[in-house]
Amino acid sequence: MSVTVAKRTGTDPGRTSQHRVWGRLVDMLGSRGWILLVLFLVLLVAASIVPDVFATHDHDAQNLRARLLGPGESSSEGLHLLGTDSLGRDLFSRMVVGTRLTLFIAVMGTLIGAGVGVLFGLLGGYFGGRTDRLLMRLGEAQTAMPMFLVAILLLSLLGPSVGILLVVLPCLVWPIFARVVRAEALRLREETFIEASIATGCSTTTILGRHLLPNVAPRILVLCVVEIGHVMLSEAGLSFLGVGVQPPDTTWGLLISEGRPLLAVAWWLTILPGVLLGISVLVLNLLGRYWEARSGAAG
Amino acid sequence: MSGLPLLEVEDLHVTFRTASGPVHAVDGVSFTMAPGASLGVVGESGSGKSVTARALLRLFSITDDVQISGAVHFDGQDLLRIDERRLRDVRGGQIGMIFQDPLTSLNPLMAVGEQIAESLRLHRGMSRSEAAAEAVELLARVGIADPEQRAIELPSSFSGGMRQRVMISLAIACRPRLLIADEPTTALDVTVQAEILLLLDELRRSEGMALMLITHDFGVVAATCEDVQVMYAGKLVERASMAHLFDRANHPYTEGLLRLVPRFEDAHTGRLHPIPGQPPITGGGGSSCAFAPRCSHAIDRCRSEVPPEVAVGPEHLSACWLAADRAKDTTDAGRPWSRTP
Amino acid sequence: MGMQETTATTAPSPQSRRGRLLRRLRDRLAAEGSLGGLLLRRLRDGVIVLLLVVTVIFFLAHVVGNPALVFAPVDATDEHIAKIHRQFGLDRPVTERYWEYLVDLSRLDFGESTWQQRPAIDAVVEALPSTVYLTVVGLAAAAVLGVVPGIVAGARARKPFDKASNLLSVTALSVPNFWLGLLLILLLGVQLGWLPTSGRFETASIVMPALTLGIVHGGRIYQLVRSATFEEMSKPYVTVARSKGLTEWNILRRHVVRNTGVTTATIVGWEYVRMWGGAVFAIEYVFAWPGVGLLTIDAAHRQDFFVLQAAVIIAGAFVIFSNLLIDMGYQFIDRRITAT
Repeated sequence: MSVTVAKRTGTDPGRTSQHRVWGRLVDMLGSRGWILLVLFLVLLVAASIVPDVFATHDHDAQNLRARLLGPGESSSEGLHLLGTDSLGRDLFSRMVVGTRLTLFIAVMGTLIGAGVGVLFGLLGGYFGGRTDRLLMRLGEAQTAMPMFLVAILLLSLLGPSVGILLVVLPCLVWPIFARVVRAEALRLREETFIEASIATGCSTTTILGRHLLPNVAPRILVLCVVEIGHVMLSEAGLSFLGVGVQPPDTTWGLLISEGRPLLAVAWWLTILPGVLLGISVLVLNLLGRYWEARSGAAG
Repeated sequence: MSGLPLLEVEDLHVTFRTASGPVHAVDGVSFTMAPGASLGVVGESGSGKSVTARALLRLFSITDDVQISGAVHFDGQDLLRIDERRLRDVRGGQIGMIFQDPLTSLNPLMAVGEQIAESLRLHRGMSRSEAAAEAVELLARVGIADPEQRAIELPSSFSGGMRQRVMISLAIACRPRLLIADEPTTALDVTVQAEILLLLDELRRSEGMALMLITHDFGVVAATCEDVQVMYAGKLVERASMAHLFDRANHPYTEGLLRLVPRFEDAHTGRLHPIPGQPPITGGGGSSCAFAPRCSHAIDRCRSEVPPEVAVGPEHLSACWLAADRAKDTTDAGRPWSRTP
Repeated sequence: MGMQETTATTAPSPQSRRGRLLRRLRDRLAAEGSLGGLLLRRLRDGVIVLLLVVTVIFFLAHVVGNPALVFAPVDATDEHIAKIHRQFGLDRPVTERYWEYLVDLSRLDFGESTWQQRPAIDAVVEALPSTVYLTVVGLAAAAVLGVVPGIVAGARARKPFDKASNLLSVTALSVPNFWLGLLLILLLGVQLGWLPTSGRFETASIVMPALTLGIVHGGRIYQLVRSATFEEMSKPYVTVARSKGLTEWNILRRHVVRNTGVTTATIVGWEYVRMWGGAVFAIEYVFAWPGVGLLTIDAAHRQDFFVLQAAVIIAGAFVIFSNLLIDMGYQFIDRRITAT
């Protein structure tokens, strides 16, 4: 609750006007801040499409005379913005190059999971009954299991690879999409226009595709944004533990893992990729919040 | 109204800042109340009558972002400008408040006696046991049978009407000088409504409190209040004594509201007389009479200038460009509506 | 790790997303039949879930992969693999082997660890108490970090403290938990030298892993408690309490917390289950904490299928059981409150 009482006399003490300026600034950041967030994501996407534009060095070039340089130090190869690793490779360039696979796995993993979740959610929500119970119990089952251990087991059984990651990661996110879609489908099923479509003889697929899907699409999109962040964290975790992405492929999670033995002597190798990962997930989270607030206010 | 007023509201404005822009819920309202007076505030939902009452005590929900201006003089201080600590002394101590929904107005997990005792200990400095005894007294006072037993029960074991009685006992616990009742009977059955109104009226007389009764229902006001003021779109449009208003409603909006009270004569035709159109969502800021779009008497001036309040009779004000003309008409023609609760 | 941390982390205002989560929490816990009936139903569901997981594991190990390769140590020779093939009777039909597998599991026979040369279950049972200890201390830390700030932020929504703590909690949920552990090691262990950074050799060893867990899970507890408190603060009885002249602090202490207490306890309980969904295992690895997580990851690196399998199944059973206890506890308290 914020209750402001206007002063009786017209003279406004300076504090109030200062407050107003500050408030307007905060409001502007609040309403325009999303542009900064989107800009950050655009940079990430650009770095994954054309890493060479961003990378300052060849990410794989070893330089034993420039080993473990700290951030900002220079070697014969020039300035190393974020330092070098134990083989003298430029950390910044490695992070830039790692962006592609990091984003690819996160986005693909989320999309596959979203696809499966939407499909199951639509089926369960639309048909109800036994199909619904079965699918929902499957989702519930997952929440009750230590899925991270299951993921480690699956990856070590099937051999860690990007392909297997794209099977395991969607398994972790589909129930969330299914739940949202199902709830929406259940709600829509009661609406008159769906009844009308049934009455006019539309087929089930038409109803699902034409009516239910467009209605849930905005929420699915917002959810995707947020879940990409979470899948990113999951991939990083699995790669960190050595059951995810394998060298010579590189993701930010793997970079953290590679830097870990040198934590005490070269902190940047561990900390900086984590900062980038954390900021990326934070940006996705904030953006998801923002969009949801917007659509919530509109609808 | 004579002597020193108990409450004097001066040019009260209340603006809610919302995502879709500011909403002027109360737009320059002024009025006074004498000690022991009974004032009915009538209007449709959204007319600003509840917001007016809440603004007096700065009582808003935590989601609200509110801006208030004007002055509220009560007992020699301006309630809008005293600090939080002194305001808390007034809340519950000097001014008691009853809310619309008795089902959600009580803490579901606290014994009703405890909820009453809380006030007593705070404002009257009673010990735990004194407050408990007084709470039982108060429950008996508002007509709750077996008060000792009921005092230790949770609100869930009370019916709606009984909960509203509890709310009343809570609001009058510290013998406030003003009791504000915000739609106290709207959520109740008709028979229970009458009982609660009788109780309020009786308490007002016996305790010597002033009563401000906020409602959309003229029938409720007629049963309990001596004076009445009508609000529309955040403004006061008419004020008069109850008896006077029923006979000589001046403002077309008041007239329309009075026609909404179902009358015995209409029973056989089954006809009601709704006011056409919808009330505006935001009041204020305009340069016309807010009621003009719905008014069958509107003239050009109504759409270009805000009408001022003019006296149309003894202690009878009306904010209408046609007030003077209509005052003559109504005196001549008279009004058939009788004073029925 | 963020695997299960997917539902509650983001919401624009306290009403929307976390609001829905809270509602789901309540829906799920809405009184359904007698306590005994509920217990039986939940037990049955738990068994079905475990059976499902076991079946998936079997299918993957025996049908998709070459089981002999899976069961063999990393450095096994061809002869060795052939021997394993015979030893496990892998030439018999799958259905027969599946049945045998289930019978073995029901006898708590999870196979022999190829790495530790002892029954896999022994290794897991030995590691389990360490993980339970860590999760319990971590949960306590998370509760301390999440509940009190959550209540304060919910009661003072949109004020500076709310905004700042909210951003902090979203950040805590956005950074990788293992990285947070490494950061703490760097700051508190390497730089300041205050705390032991690995293993479980002294009492203080628990501090850093538990703190890491506490920050990550405290972040979400904060978010949920905040929206529960906010929701409660918007109820009419709070306005009534205010109209009585109570201070905000007394309203919070005497009215709101009393009403959100059960929800808060349940939020904390559920967070315990979530902890087992991911974060704790990676954090064990970071701090070399000798629990199930470290065991599992070591086993994965050594291709020790039987230990992996035993860890998943036993940890799964433990989580399902904890979940059951928490829901039952909630039901019990809730019914007692509504009954009076």
